[in-house]
Amino acid sequence: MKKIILCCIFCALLSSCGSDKEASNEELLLDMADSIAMPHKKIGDEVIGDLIKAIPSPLEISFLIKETNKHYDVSLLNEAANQSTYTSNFSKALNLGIYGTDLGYISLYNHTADAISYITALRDLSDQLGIGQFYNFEQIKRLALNANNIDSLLYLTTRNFEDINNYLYEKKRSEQSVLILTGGWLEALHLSCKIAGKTNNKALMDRIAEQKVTFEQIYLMLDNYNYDPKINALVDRLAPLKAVFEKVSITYEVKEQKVKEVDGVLTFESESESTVHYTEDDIYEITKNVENIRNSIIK
Amino acid sequence: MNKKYSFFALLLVLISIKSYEASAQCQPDACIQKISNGYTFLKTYKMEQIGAETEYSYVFSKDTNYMIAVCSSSGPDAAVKVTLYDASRKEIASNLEKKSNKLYSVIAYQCKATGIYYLKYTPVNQDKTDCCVSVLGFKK
Repeated sequence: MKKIILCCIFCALLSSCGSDKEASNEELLLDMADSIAMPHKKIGDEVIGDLIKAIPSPLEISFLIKETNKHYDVSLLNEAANQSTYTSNFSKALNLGIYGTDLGYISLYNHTADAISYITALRDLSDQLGIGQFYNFEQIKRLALNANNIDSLLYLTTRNFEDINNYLYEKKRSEQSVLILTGGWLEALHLSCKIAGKTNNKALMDRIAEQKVTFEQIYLMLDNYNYDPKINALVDRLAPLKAVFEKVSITYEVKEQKVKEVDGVLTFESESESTVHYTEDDIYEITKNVENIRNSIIK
Repeated sequence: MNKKYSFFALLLVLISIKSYEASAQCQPDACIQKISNGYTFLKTYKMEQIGAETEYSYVFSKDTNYMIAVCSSSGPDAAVKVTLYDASRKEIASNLEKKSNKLYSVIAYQCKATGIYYLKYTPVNQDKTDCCVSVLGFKK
């Protein structure tokens, strides 16, 4: 009888525990933190964690790209084969973000053949950064091969990135989260600039100029880690882009909004509008600077 | 004596099952089910400290629809109020409908102004809310 009772208690304790995704190779992860020498952060980890959550997903801009341009162009992406040339954790983290955005772009256009090589590149880079445990690559691959699974694939990959950010935050490696986000954001901006250059689409050009808001957040986060020589060099490379975005302005007109229930969802239809002010030269300058920065990262 | 052990063991199992069910409500995978009608998942937010207000920010984009779902341990109905503020800290949306005092578990916001927005989570009934998770989705 006692054995049964003990068994019950054991089962009860087990059921009350969640699954812990703690990394199995803690020593490897410690070795990975090669860039942290003398931190002189201006912003605390908690604020950085909040800023990371505030950065919009590159998926939003990828949807707009798909909406404005039906033509899929793999030549716009960072070649998956480049993955093996990235040797520092700095370049691995930035390019992990770039490949993440590229995979989102490929998935939206349902080019499954290309998806596999990008999934492999993501797997290899994340393994090398000690965060491969957050990806179920077989599941991702299975979803990527079926066009009907696009929603599940986007959900899974977005959740994976969230888990990675949470893990890196807990392990005091938020600078790698910031680099991953920077790479992802920069690639989305690169794709937008390339498509806007071909189509002259007004909505896309507006969105490019509006990236001023996100850029300011990313710049603030990167600058927080300027004690790291590689991140400091990246901040320096971003300076010309910062100068262009300073010429862009956004104005707001506040108006009333309507509230109604639609299928059990409380829906707010805002009439308040923003207008982004920029010139064609600004878009040209943003495009040029984004290309320079991206080329220095993917080379 | 054996009966006493059995009683406590059974009690422990029941408490564990109950806590598992409650925590399941707070899992993003369960809450994402509330984001529907073509919305794509973007972010998960967790109430870090029970009983305290928690605030997050996110850059919303013009001409984009956003949906926010709130899930808490008290069951399928939301027990947490979410309030959306614009960059100037003006309240623009909430899942608490003021006229009817009804708390919705899902709200949608049709955004026409790009900028930083703030999502503030406040527990309505602190006695009943053990955990809260919220998910954000978007649709063009």
